[in-house]
Amino acid sequence: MNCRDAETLLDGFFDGELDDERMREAALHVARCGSCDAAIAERERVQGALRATVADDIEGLDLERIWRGVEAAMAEDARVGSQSDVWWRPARSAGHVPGRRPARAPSLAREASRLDPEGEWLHRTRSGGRAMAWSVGAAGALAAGLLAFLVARGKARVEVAVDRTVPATTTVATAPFAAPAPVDQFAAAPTLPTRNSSRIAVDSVDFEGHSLAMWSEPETDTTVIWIDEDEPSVTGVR
Amino acid sequence: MHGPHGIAGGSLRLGSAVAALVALAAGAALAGEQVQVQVGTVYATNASEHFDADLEAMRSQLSRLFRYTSYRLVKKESRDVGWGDPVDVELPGGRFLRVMPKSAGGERVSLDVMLRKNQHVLMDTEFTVRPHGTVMVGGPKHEDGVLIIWIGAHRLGGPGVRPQAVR
Repeated sequence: MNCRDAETLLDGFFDGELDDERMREAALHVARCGSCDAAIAERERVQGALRATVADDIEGLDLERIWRGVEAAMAEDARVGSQSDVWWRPARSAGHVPGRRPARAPSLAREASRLDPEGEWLHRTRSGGRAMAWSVGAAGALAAGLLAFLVARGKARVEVAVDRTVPATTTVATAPFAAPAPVDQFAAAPTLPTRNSSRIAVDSVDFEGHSLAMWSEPETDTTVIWIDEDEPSVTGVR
Repeated sequence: MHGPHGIAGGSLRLGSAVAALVALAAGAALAGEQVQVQVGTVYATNASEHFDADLEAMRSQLSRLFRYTSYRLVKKESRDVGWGDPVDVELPGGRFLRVMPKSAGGERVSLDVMLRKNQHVLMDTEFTVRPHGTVMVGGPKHEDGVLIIWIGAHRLGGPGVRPQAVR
């Protein structure tokens, strides 16, 4: 995937609306591409600003008064006896077409939380030099698709703990890098056991390679660290 | 007569002394202990469809974790070393792997792992693995494929290790 391809996917990637395969492809590209990673970071910045604004607005609302109005409207509906046009009926929300996917996929944060209830899958620090700009979007996508995937450029220090419990129903794709095979040769996602026995902890990784990926197969207590020696320059153009 | 600071200072010194003794005891316990370090190197490629018979026990795992069509065992070594003693393994392509068991925490063994290519350090890291755990380091290019190196370690006399997959 090059930047031109990625550009068309960035919005969907950021919103978590792509299918699994495209999410993985986009995540890989973004993790390796400075300009696309910056584009995602910009979206995060805008979204953060919006979120802060909305939060401020909500804080300023008198919800008690609004709820009193809602209750009054409901009471009026009940009095009239018309149940056919109750405006607050669920599953008929604006913009939702039955049978179609909701406009917005489950949030990355929620997906990441589901996959990582203890929030200990991925920890990272930077130690000087150029380190990857690890975006929330990429992290969410990877949490959804990979056990752990770390890419960095230049010399970086990464701290990771691959030491956790995986929810019973979680299905996580391992990320088999099979260079020279392209990324679309990722293996199918295995279903992980309820309580994995993986206790491999990678405390830190210092490396000078251009990129480094990591994934794990808890059922066999195996952690894979993949060094991509052929990673091109950090211009992001691939 | 001791003032509060004197009591606190005494407690601190006592605590430090106990901690030092515990550390010494732990060190003494590890001093004579051996660690078995296993290192295996696989050459993986898509140039053929050969699967090394020596890797048969790892077939399903390799096919799950990677997507190559051919896997050949390059070398496999198992060495018993003391804590802090390095295991050096020459790898194809001028690469060099050093694995050094550093410390133990219960069943876990902490390993310093360094992978170099000539004078260039590709990776310098620390793993903590359980007896049944394996770390695979992959990606170094070799001919028209890549090398995949697996590393495992367990304390001899400690918790047992799962028989290594490679015969």
